[in-house]
Amino acid sequence: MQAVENESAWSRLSIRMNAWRIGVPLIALLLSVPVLVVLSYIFEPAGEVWQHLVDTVLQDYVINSLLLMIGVAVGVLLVGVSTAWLTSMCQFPGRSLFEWALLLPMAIPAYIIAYTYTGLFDFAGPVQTLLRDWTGWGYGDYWFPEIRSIEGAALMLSLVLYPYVYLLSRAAFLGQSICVLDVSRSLGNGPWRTFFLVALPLARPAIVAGLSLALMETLADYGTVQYFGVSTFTTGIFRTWYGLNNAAAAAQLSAMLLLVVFALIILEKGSRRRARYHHTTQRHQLLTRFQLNTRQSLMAFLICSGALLFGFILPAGQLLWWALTTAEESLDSRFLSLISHSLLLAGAASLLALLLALFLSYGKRRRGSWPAVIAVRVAGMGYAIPGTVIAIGVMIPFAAFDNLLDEWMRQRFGWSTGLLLSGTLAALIFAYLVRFLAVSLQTVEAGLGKIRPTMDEVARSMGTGSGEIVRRVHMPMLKGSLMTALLLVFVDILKELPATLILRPFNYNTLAVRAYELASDERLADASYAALTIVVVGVLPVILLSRTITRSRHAKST
Amino acid sequence: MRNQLEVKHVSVKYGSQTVVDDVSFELESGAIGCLLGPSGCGKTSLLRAIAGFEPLAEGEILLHGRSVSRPAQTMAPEKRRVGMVFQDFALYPHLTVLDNVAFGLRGSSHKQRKQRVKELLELVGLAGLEEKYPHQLSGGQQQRVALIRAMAPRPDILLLDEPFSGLDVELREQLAREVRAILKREGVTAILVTHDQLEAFALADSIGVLGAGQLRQWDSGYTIYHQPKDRFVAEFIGQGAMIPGRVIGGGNIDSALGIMAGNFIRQPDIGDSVELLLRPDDVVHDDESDFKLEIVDKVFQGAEYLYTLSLEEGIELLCLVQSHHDHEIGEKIGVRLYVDHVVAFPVEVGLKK
Repeated sequence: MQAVENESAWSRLSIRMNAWRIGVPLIALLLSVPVLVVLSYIFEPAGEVWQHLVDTVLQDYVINSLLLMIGVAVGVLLVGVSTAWLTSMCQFPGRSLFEWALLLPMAIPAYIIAYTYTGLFDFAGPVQTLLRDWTGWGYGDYWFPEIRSIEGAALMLSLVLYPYVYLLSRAAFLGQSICVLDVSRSLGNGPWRTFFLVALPLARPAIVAGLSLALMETLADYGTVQYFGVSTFTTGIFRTWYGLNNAAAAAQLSAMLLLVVFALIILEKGSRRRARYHHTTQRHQLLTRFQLNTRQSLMAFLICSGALLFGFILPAGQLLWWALTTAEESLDSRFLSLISHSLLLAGAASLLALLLALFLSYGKRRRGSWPAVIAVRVAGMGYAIPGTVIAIGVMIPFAAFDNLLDEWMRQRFGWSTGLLLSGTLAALIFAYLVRFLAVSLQTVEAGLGKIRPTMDEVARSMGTGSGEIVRRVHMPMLKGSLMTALLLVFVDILKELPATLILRPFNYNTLAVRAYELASDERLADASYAALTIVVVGVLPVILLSRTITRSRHAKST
Repeated sequence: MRNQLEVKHVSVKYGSQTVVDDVSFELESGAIGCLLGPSGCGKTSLLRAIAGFEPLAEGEILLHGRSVSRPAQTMAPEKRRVGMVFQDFALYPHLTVLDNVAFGLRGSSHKQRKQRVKELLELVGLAGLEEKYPHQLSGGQQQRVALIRAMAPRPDILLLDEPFSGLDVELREQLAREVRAILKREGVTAILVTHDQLEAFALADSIGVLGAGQLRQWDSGYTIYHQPKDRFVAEFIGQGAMIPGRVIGGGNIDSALGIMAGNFIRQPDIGDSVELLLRPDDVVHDDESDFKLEIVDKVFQGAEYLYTLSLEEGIELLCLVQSHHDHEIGEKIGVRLYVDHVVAFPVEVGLKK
């Protein structure tokens, strides 16, 4: 009797296990299709168009992308590391405010900050107008830095990407035992020498990890460089796809870009692994921050407030000003339809990403075998891959599938299915999943990691079945992580531009696309409503992040 | 009395590796047993097999007279009526103390559940903490909550997996004694897994010493200490010295300590080489004694000194002496042997020293 009962319980369990065994690698495989498609073009023989690209513009793409990366690297390192050091290790007025406020620039997508700075600093903008009014100069009488240039693009990207370096190096500085710094001081090194000899080398892996994240974003950027007229890989892919109408050459460009991204991924992963070993102690004594004198405090304040001012307050203020002055024309039914499109798209995709992330991470947790682990890794890789590349990688196989199906149906049943997948929301949502599942996955996995296996076992020993454990233990403990995952992906999708541009159904506008279109038509003020909405929603995850920061600080002081 | 737990020739394998090898023992209702051994000896795997988290490769486990585990037949843990306490306590951070303890109580009314939790909290001296969350409690308090959570549904057996190793050393012994008193008052049958012999002595009625997956001895703490069945047990439990000797007629052994009666693991032949186990408390300090040995090392242990005495070249004895008797290294002190039967192990070539 007992035995029979056990057998059936086992077979039920094994069916469920199989859903995971097959489902997890299948999902991973599906999600890696775009990357595999793009990579396969490496081996494609070079066509005429490709040869043309090589002869004419490829050199520009490579050099510009490289220059942009160097510029951004210098920018984010200077701003990110210095602000991280000041807010974590020094005491000066406003420090605790800056600690979280320095994350605010993350809320602004690079293409939007580019629009606002163009509006501010262009010939007709308020700054140059004011300058001319003061001095009486006219057009051509004076030199003013051109914001729409490669240097300008590097500056824009640095202003919104430095928080990556700030966040990771701040964590590294706080993770360093104050003892190693004290030892250095006791051995006769001053604060500056200690910073360069001890703190900086110890934090280096974390800083490099943050830098590689910022560089991945730089490579993925389309909106800024396009608007500034800088030819990089992403704009090149667009031009080849739409202008030259050549999918193969676009895919080959994408594949080249992918190789650089892979190098960055390896750099980032390696640095993170090393960062773990650079944590010198587990226990920290209470942090005593360097008390800065008046002059030093002023410097620290200026550095931090500069980053905040130029990275957030100025652009957000400009957007707000535009929005207020154009409120009457802009707030109409078309704006409402933009909002509903964006909400629908981001909501559906983020929910789907959450469900997939739950399925994958449970699969990994229950069967920690290597296929599951690898599958989850692969599924989580998309975040590093530029939206442009993913879009190309989705477009090619979807179109091939549509054509194949159409042809077969026509031969078999005599009617045409047309384009079933390409140019639909399904294709776009699939691309979002490829790109942003990693965000969801990471958050869910971190949450699930807090539920130790013994917690399940205790529950089972007290007569609780699997379903009940999920309801009474897992869901209440995971709630926060699930909400966070949903929010992060939602906001990322809201900001996403290049993949949406390529894959959206005809005339289907979202906030990001509309802001891009209006700005491209030099209607910057009209773009402000859409842009401001994106920024306001983008502040939500920043608040979430800053709350974790404040909480960790409280934990430290108890 | 009826056996609450019967473990019959149980083996557990991970792949081709045997981690528990043909282990058998029984536990009476209300008794506290302990599985003691170094890390990797299979004690936790055996406990998890009893709980139903590991399938058996061979043998059978009976709980309260019903068969719960046989090869290819493992009753699910949630159907076994076992209670578990883990090293990390595994308290649910989203639930209050009250809800944690009441987690496994089902089928009774809200009022009855609350009553049971209150009763248990009083039992462990935590009354009034019902509404606190686990992170607001100290380590010792968390441990007690984990214990009564496992006891709340009145399980047939309570399984404790290294329940004290997450706590401060000072706290451990005190808690071990407290836990024993609580289990005895409630009449709970329990099995504890630990690598700490003092914990085992303080808590258990019977102790099983495991080495390399095998149960080496299942006895009371006293017997395991003074009459270990093999060298592994002798060396793992307590301190002691091994003195070489030779078997002479009449079950006696001749050694540097003279001739004395021996307890043999298996019947030796006359003339066999053996080793005698002498515990530090077998050697008693006595100023009157003519038998004087030189001190070569000493360790202060608070109430006592542990002296290392040189018997002859290369052979040393340990001697536990009240710390009022403070002697210098190099001094000779008088000792007496306080043993009825010495345990003697046959000398086997290649055995780990």
